[in-house]
Amino acid sequence: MLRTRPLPIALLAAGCAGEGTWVLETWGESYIEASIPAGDFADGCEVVYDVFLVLDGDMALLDGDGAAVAEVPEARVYDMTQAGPHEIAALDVPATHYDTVRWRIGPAPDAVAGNATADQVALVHEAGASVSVAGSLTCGTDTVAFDWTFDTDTTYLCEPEDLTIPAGGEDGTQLTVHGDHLFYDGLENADAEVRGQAVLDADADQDGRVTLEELAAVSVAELGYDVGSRSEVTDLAAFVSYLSRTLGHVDGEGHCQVGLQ
Amino acid sequence: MSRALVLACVALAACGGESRRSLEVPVHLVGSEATTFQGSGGAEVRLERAILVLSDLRLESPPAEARLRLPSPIRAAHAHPGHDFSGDTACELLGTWDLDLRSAEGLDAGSATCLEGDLATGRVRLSAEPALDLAGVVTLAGGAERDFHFEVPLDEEVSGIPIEVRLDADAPPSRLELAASPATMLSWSDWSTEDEDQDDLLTLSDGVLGNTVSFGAVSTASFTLDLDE
Repeated sequence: MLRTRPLPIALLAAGCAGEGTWVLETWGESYIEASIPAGDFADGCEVVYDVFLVLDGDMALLDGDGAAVAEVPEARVYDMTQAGPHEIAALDVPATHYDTVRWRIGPAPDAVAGNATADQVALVHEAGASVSVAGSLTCGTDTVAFDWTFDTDTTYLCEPEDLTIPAGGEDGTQLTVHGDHLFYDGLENADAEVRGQAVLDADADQDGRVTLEELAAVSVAELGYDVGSRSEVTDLAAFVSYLSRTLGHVDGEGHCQVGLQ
Repeated sequence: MSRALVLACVALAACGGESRRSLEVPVHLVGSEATTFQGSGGAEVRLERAILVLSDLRLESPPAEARLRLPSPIRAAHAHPGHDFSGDTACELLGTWDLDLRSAEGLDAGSATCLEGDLATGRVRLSAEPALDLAGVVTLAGGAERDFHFEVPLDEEVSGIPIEVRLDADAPPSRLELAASPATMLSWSDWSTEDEDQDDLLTLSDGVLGNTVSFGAVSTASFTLDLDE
């Protein structure tokens, strides 16, 4: 079990005595472990992931001043297609209420295996990747494979709804990865829908495999997709890459603020 | 968000010992002076009508200031799925304005109520049917002429328009200018699109022009914000 920083004076002054355990885990939910079913796609497509590697780093529990009271000491690689949730760490922390968890999905050359294999860890390091996904997309009777790697670097500040560590007890946080976000048709709009047909249609050489290079040839403007304030995103490869910055959530559907660090 | 809320933010900041003074900044809206410009594929676009309906202009502080978690009543919403967020609102001008994008003079929209300090981004709403009304003639590279008329219904905010300046109540700017470029709005459109309904007029229903014109209308790249010192 990992020790944390000395108890902040402010917490002592507030009368919060003792320590408890903060249990940190990660999960890809059924969308990544099983499939994103046709009913959840606006255009009736379906996705099955074979691999969904995420490089988790800089994981920490923050106090009200933004200081880390517990940190996972190294970045780790997880394959979210494996049945979870996957425990990351159990850390001693001052017993009190917390409202911020920090989490980074970004390249880290010193990252170690979480539940990923040695080959998978080597793959993300070789690619300088933060996220690497492979699977199949089916729309109607047509199916294409995809194998995409992203090097986006995103720090999430997440807001667990009610995280209170009791003295001598434990409470937990789940870093939830949303696999459907890679297929959203909007970057910032609240009413974005999950769509797959545009990705399937991007298979220009019709070899049954959609590459990022093929996605780069597709105009987002012609698709009618919404980029919000991200006017620099004009092709489908850049669009999906940007969406890889939106995977992180907390405790299921809890939101995280992005890009603050 | 009302002007009263901006002023309330001033009061809150003052209570916190971080006084930020308010100032009034005149806002000017303007389109492109060029009514003829280059389009995709070497086409020449001539605008004969170009009306944009804008409303509710807001400027925001850099996001870093929001991290201080001051009890501001003007917090930015967290979007889904992006969850990026802008800083707190630092300038606000409410209203609706019909801007002729072909007019060199533009129009004075009124004065925004602002808090001094750094600015990072701006946002403005396009909400009308149509919010954008563009008509004119395009001459293709081969010399053929085609009429077009795009009436674009919208209910969206254009967000993230960059404006990296600092407002100082001791040296207030003479005005803030928001410029909208119809040339950029139309830059994603393919002028060789087939006239599917054969009415001799390119409209939003032809090909993917509905998507590309709408995309351009709400693209951050179609707008610029500047302060005149």
